Amino acid sequence: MTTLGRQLELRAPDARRDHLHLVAVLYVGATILLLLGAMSSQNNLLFAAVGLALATVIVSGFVAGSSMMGLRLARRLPVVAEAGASVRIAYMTQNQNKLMSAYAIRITDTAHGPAGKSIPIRIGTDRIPARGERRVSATLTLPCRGRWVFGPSRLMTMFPFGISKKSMRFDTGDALLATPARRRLRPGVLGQLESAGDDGRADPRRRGQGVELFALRDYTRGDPVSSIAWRSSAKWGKLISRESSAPKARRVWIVIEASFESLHNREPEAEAAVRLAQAAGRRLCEIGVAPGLSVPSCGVSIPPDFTDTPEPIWLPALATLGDEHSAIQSSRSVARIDGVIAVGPGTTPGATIVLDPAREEAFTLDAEVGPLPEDIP
Amino acid sequence: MTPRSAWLTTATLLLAMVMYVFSFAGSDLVLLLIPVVAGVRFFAYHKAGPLAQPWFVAICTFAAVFYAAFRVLSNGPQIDILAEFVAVLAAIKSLERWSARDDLQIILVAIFLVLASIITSSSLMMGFLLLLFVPLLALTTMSLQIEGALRFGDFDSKAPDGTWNTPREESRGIGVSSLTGIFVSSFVLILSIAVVAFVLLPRGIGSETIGGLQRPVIGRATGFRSSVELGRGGLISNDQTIVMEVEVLNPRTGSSAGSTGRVFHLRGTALNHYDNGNWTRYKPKEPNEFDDFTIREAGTRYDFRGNVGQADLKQIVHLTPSASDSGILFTVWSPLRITFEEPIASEIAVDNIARTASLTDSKSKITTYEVLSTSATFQPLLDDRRRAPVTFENPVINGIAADVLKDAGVQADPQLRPISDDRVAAEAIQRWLSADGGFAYTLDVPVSDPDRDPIEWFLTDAKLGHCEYFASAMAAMCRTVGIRSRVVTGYMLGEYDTARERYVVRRSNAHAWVESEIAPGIWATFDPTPDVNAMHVPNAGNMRLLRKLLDAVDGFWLSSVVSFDESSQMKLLGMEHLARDNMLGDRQLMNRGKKIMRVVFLLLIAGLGLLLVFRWYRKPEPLRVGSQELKLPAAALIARRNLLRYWKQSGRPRPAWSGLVAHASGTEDQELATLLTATAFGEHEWTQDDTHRCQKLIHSLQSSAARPRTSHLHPEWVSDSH
Repeated sequence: MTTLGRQLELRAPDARRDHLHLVAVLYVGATILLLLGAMSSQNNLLFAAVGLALATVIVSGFVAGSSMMGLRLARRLPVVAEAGASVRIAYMTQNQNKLMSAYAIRITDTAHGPAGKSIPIRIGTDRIPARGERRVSATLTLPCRGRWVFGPSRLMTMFPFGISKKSMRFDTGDALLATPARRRLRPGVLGQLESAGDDGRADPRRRGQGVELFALRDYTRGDPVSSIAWRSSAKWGKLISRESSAPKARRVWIVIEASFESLHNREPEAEAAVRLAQAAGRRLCEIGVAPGLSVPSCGVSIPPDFTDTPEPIWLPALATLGDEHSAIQSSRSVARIDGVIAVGPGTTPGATIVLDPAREEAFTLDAEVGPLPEDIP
Repeated sequence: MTPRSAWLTTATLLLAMVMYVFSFAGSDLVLLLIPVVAGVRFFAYHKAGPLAQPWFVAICTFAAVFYAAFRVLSNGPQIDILAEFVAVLAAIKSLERWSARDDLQIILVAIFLVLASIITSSSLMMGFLLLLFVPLLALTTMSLQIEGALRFGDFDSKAPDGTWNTPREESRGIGVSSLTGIFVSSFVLILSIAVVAFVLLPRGIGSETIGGLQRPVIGRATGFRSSVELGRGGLISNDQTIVMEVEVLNPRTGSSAGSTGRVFHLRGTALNHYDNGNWTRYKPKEPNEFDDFTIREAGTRYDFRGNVGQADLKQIVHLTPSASDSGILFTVWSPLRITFEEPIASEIAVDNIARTASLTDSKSKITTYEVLSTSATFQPLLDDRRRAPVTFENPVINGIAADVLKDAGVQADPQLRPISDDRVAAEAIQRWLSADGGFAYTLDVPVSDPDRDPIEWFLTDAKLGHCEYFASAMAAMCRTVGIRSRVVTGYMLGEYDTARERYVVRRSNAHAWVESEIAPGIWATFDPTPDVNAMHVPNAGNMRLLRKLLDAVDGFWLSSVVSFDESSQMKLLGMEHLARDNMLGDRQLMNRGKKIMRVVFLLLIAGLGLLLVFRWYRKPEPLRVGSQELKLPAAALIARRNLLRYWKQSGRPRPAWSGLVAHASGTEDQELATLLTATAFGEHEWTQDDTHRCQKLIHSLQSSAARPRTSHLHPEWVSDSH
């Protein structure tokens, strides 16, 4: 097995199947008619045709079965996916048969999404050489956010004559989380929250991972060399370390006012609310405000927290909003809240800003569709 | 870019059309379509859009349908009408934009044309073309499969907005060279199995019961036959087996009377009785009906009536083991004496009017005999003698013969025509058949119209046949105008071996001609078959060898394939040999073998049927968890299968890794899933009540699934299981 195969965990099939399909039934029927014609006319060329027809059935089954004997399959999903953006699903097929190549292999797979949605994936390859590999990939667009589970996948061939149809099933259950489609909030939509750092209500400085100087102190083992203040050390005659201040810490709740059913069913207005919430969360992260997420209808409550990433930490939770078992209740308490963004009709008490999903276009700029994730190296 | 499979498909269709043209010699329409289809498909592949507008294609299609319907109504349903219709449709379809799925339809058309061809003709050329067609078809289907795999999903897995599962680029598929190994091995395997199947498929079964579906078209090899059967279609092929060698000498000088280019008719049987297409040797029921028909005792010599001293030809006939075992003694007209090299054990049956002889015991083996003949065929007539009355009741043939004689200036009415004109009349009829009447010679004869006399059909419709048709037609025409005539079967002596000064006679030299009584008691030979000498006298030069080789291949094809019948099958399977060892009669063993083959065949058919039934109604797969098989009663397995089917139909198929209970969402499927799971893991004992309960739940689920749902899903994103 190659390095690539180990990476992709090529699997042996879980089940094999010999399909009785329409073409085969029609072919057998035609052969019987041919036989009746030969018997009726005693025409030896028709008997020869019957012989050829029977031989074709046998050889078709033999070739199709033999060529499928050593096939292995692996599916490679991208790390991230976004609803509405293209995603490439790669399939690595390997033929462990030493003699016989596999021809005309068709791969079928299904992506099962939330709310009963499913997408069939069909792709094929012309030939997998003996002791060789072949990679094929299908590009598809996941229509909505949520957890998409792939499988079972199936390798199938009707080679050489389309009479015998044999397949192998691979019960691989890879899952892919599709985040909501990304939108960029128009500047100024969040109003005072976007400039809250200058209104005097910000926290006093404290230790943290910020860039501003908080204090100088004696060097202790483990401090990075880059934190040593060399000039002060020279002045004091001992190693002095710099301590940075924490970034301005502000906390804002984003409350999605949508019903569980509408989120579960991925109704357009609920989805617009989810997209707006994500856009607002990203904007808050960009300006150093910690966003929290609250979806009362789903039992989701994730307090504001600070991260180093430009995305809110609750993005995965946002992706699965409305799904079963999506409730998240954090026990962590929040000392102080700087604002509440209500995404919905604005029924949340004390909402600082209300973003109406019906006016999504007014709040956001063009969609940011990320680049297609790179294929398997 | 056009994939290779498209070119292969075109080649397959064109080859099928060529086969059809070879089998249906008169199919000018398909002949015309061959270049049309080739050209249209060539341009269609190189043009982005369709070659013709849809309305034009529709008009052409309707025209083809109406024309085919008109022909069917006029002539009845015939396979050539249907074949030409599908060929026309294939040509019309080529005018449209090409798509990969069209290729499959083209392939079906090609197969249909080939089947129509092999039903009609079994010639060597057809076999050769079939041998080309089969691998080409195999290669084409392989290529189509490759193409289909590369295009897999282009049609049925694309979302309506085309945003996902992006269509793949046009692909030429893999090269034919990549398929060489699998193609060659598959083809060899197919051919081997097909040969075995061809040999083992029982012959002679069902022809009596379902033979009416298709009139038999059986090929046969040329060879002497002591009767003539007209109306049977099929191929007659040249068999180059040497059956005898004949020395033709001058009895006075002993020198050879034969030479290259000189042809003799070696008579075998004179057939004077005609009944519905069959000429047979008539044995008189009354002694006076013919002058003489005697059985002579065995001996070493037999003398016909006549003066042996008038003999001007002597023939020494050397029979080979391949000679016919009919017991016929072949002579040149008119025999005077037959002398055997050794005393024979059989009696001799002699027709003194027809001057033919045969051994009554056809099993008596003779190798060489000598014949003295006279070549005189005409003697001065006595005007007061009257011709013997003869009739042939067929007004159509009578009308044709009368017209021919009228054109030749001879009186057709025998009452008014002088006897001396009988020879002129016979010659006029012979000339009309061989040259002026527009008749053609062929060994591949179609089946005649069963409602008509074959001779009448030959003279009016077919105008195509072999020597038996020409001879029969002349004999019939002569009889209708009062000239006694008979059909004679035998061999043509035409291949003269100058080194050994003898004629070499092959089976392909078998021939039929006519003897007519041109004056009372005086019979003359007439041969109405066109270019008869050219057929039986080999050409000199290099092509002669090639022709012999082709004839030999043709003979092999005919004897091994076309004429392969029950007896050949038994012989090949060694059952004749067993028959001798077991002291069983041939017929007895043949019947036994036939029964065995019939039983085997019926068992095979029954087995195939059972297999199909089994596959169709296969049992539910046993439930497994890992390698452990869970014991579920059959009713529970069926309930489980129905539950899974319901989920699939509801648009949320259960993933293979999900449990039943975990996947259930409603009350009813939850109950069902719980019950099945508890049973599977031994926590519950399945009872009859459970079966009823499951049936009710399934029924309830299916009823709810059948009700129109107020689905909130956008229709394009629901599962394809809808």
